[in-house]
Amino acid sequence: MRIKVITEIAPTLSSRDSIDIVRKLINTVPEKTVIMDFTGVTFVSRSAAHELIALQKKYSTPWQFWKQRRISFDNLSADVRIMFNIAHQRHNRSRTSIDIPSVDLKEFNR
Amino acid sequence: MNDVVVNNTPNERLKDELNALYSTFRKLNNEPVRFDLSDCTWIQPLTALAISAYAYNVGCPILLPKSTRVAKYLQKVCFPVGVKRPEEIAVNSFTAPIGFLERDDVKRREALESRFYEVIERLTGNVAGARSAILYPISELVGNIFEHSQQSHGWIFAQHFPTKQMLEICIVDTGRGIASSYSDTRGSSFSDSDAIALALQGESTKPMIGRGTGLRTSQNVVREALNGEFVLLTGDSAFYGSPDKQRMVHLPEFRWQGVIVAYQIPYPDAPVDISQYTS
Repeated sequence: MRIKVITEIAPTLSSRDSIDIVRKLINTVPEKTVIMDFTGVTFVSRSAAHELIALQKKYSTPWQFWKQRRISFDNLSADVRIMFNIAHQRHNRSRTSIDIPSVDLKEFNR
Repeated sequence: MNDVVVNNTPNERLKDELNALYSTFRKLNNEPVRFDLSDCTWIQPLTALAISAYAYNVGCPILLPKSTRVAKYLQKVCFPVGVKRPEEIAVNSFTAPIGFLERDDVKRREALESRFYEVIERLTGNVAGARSAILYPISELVGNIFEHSQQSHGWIFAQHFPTKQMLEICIVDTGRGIASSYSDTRGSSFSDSDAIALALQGESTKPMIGRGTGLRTSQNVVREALNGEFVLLTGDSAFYGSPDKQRMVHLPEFRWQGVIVAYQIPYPDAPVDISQYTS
């Protein structure tokens, strides 16, 4: 099965819930191989890319063999590839501590 | 019903826009008022979008500017109701009107955002990496509305300043706010400034790996990769960040129910790589 992302969603994918559209499509077909074709897609947000990676991982889980699908991403533009790389990095980061000075309005406007 | 007179912002510095927002909404607590813009000879995007959101939620009349130039501009950007469908933004347009984003129709929302992004790209040019850098914060911050605010809608607006080669993006919701988002998921209460600090540290309200980074990395991208200024406001507190400064400001007698984000960036004139700012 080949999913044309630009047709099924839009030329850009912003939100995590847009990936539900893909999830529903995958669940309705018997094919075990799903190719997501990003031709014409100019931007995928970090969140949407993260959700797609999670989806790909979920459907590859061996102990749910009846649900298994091999999902691949095809024709990614350079910009879209960057966001997938950033979403991959995300998996291993931890919280960063920052110190932000508090000021009142008078001092802020000085 | 009281009148709230909206004054001109002295200039388009983000700090001044924050002050203008503060003076417009100070002492308002979700009660109906009439916004009086009649003497405005200009209105900045942050104030315009906040008035749109407040008026929608509470049901407020708006007295439009006497200046035909300003009135025409507001009409052009579909103030105050905004656009809901992508077809309402003309193909090849250089104006990004106020966008009214709705949770329920995901496909329409994505299409509307796509059209919005196209306008922004048309304005900011085609420098390598600029698309990812400019759209990254917008997509993260709009995503936050639907993941955290518990509201079914939000607003987005972009204004370009051609003489300054600068773009301003504003994103507004009228949801539960950041402090309530943390309180509701953790069971303890947080002040607005503490909640902002937690969000900027990447503390997620969700247990899943890879979450909680949107606000932190977005302001990094705006300030450091794009050399811009960033404001995040919720409840009675605001965070202001520029390339060399970060401040938390308490806003007395002020409460915004929800979250307001605004940032200004100069148009990129050299390749931008956001990778180092998003981890």
